[in-house]
Amino acid sequence: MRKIFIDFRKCVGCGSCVAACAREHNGKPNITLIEASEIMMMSLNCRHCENSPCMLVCSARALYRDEDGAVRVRHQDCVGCMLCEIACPFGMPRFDERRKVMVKCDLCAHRRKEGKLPACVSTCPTGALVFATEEEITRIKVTQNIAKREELLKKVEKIMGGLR
Amino acid sequence: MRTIITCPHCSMGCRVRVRKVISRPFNIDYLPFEDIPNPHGKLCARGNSLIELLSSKQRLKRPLKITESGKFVEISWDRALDEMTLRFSEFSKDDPTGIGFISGEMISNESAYLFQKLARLMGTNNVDSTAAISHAISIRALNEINAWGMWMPFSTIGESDLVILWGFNPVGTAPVLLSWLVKAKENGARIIVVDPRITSIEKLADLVVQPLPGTDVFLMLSILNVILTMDPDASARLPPGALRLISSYPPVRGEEITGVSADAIISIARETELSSSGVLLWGSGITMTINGYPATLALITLAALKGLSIIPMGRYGNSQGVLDMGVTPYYLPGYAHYTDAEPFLKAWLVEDINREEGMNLVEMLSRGLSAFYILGTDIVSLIPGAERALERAGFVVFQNAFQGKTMEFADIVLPSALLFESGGTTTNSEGRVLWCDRIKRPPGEAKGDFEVIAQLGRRMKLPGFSYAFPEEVLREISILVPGYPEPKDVKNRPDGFIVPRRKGLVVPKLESPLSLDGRFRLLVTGQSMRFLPEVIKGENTAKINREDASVLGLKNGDSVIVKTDAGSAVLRVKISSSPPRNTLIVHWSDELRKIIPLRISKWGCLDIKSVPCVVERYEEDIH
Ligand code: SF4
Ligand code: SF4
Ligand code: SF4
Repeated sequence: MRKIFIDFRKCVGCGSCVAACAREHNGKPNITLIEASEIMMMSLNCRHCENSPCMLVCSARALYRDEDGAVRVRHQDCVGCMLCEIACPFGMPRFDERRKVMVKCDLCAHRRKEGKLPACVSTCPTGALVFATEEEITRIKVTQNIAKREELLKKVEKIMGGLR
Repeated sequence: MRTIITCPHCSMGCRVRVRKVISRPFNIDYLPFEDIPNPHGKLCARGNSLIELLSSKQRLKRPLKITESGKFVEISWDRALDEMTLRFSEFSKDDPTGIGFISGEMISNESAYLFQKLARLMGTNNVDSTAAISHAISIRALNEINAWGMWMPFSTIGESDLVILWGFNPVGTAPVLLSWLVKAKENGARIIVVDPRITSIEKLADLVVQPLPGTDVFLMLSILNVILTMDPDASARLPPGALRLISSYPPVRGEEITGVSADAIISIARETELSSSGVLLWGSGITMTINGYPATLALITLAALKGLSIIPMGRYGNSQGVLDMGVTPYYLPGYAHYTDAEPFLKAWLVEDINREEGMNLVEMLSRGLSAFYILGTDIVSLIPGAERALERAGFVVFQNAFQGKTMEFADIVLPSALLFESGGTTTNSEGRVLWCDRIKRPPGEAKGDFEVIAQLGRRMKLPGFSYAFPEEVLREISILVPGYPEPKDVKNRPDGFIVPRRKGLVVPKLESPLSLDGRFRLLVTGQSMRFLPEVIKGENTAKINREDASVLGLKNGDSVIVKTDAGSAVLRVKISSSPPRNTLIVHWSDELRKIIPLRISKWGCLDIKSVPCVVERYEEDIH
């Protein structure tokens, strides 16, 4: 299944993902921008965990995994007990005052239906958010590392000049 | 149906497709194109909440008139325009130069063009925009050096091997530019950031240089000094005066003034030496200091000597357009000099126009005029000291989409339609003209600015104001402003039309900067009063670095009293790694505005980014 991976080395905290998420989800974002310092920040959304504690604790069985693997809330079943928020290691599900149910990241279900990427991924100017499977991410990381090593070799060559 | 609109919030001019879906009338789609200002249709926080931000409750809906008792009453457009015609005719009969025309930088090209046409046909060149204190300085320097040919579109960034961001932090001002930056980085470009503040853009940078606020020009001269020693041939391209100036700023001197190590100065010079396709971007961090003009000259000279491309970043969606349209006291549309007014006389059906340079924005506000026509900017909350000028004026018209502080001083308030409610073009910082479609009706009786100005022109019996559509105005612009497109060249074109640049010999030029006074400086951010979506608004505290804080005996949450020539204010501080020494980073606010002196240096530069001040610990009274 595909998930949103966050390259926190690229995230600059511009908040575009938050605004896009809010727009797609009735004005309230499901993304938290964590700012540790002036230059350390990371956009964090639901991890759609494989062994999701939120699903385990939900006594109303309102949480389910959809066909793409996204953990979602069946709003008509949710009783608003907030146990999922407590169980979630990131405190991701959030209580919606108006509808009295829990809401959380649904990986933009309505956009996926149209064959589009989640809004935050589409809009992130730095490409810090990547929608991919785990294998794809591994591949991306490996290529990045190879590229880095090649760059280093080139640099060494440049400094050492005529050694070849 | 094709409905593509342009985001007006910054000078990127990002393109957005708006589509009606069942659940909502204005659904935003990210455009899938590469060759638009925002590759793949990416948007920042402001772009993503474009419709919501601009349909706020603060919108003006009906023309208003102030009554004797100081209350506003709704009036009809007819009465409002009649009253304006009457009053403006009176003033222009006595002395047209007693009227000041000030525009914002988010109005369309068509409105801007008609605005200056109205002013000039009424007989005054006192027409300027808020760009006067920022982007206009860049463009004046660019014009002086004739560097038009060096100006490249954003896509150049992706293919360059060196990107220098100077006095311009895209994260806060033009976030979508980061897409191009990341592309450059992926292609192996080196990225240099020059900014007094440490910010998150550092994550993408290879070299970060942190000069003290306002000292940029000395840093540039120092870099030029190193460049000339590395490449003596370059001196042939500089006049003797410039060489003399550069020779007095060797890197050690540069280090003394700017706080940037001589090594870093040398490595920037070396980077420019090694690069073969570099690009240099700058913004208001440079132009809004007392040495804004000489700094911009030095920067463009540096780029010219090293063959770097340049991109001057404006602050708002149409900073470039209002200047191109001649909303400036120094030039007619298309930067034509008053001596070359013939084509305009012919097109405007007049015998002659006033050929004396008018007053600029700050002159109009500091000297005071008898009447003001303010279009598309809440000038009072933007320019320090503007309220004094408006208070003294006999007649003030405020035409804007939103309510604002300026209303307090207005006699007539007119509601404007936004760009996507009236249609028209803007020009972004690439010099790309973009057509914005009309996606909705304006609220209440609000009208497009060009339409209002055209009506006023007709009522004042000025020749040639019979426009009904923005297209007609754009056609007239395309005849008078070199390179500007006709409506058919920009309509239904997501990528717009890049105005071909004037070529010609680039003449590097320098001017000696003024020396700086004051030990402590205020670096004001957020002066452009950007619309920000609720979800990402931050806290508002003054940032100070650890050393300064310990010298002053401050801890997080304490207050300081900041004194400048114009007054004093009490601010809460936060200790942060962002500011350099002797610097307080503050966010623009109403209290802050009152302590910024409205004083310009001889080049018309207003200091916002390095205001000299005294900072003391503030003891709260405990009773
Ligand atoms: S849009 Fe991208 S860079 Fe901006 S805050 Fe979100 S993840 Fe970070
Ligand atoms: S809500 Fe929390 S626990 Fe549940 S899937 Fe998301 S991150 Fe995991
Ligand atoms: S980068 Fe500028 S033009 Fe683009 S969406 Fe953001 S504010 Fe609008």
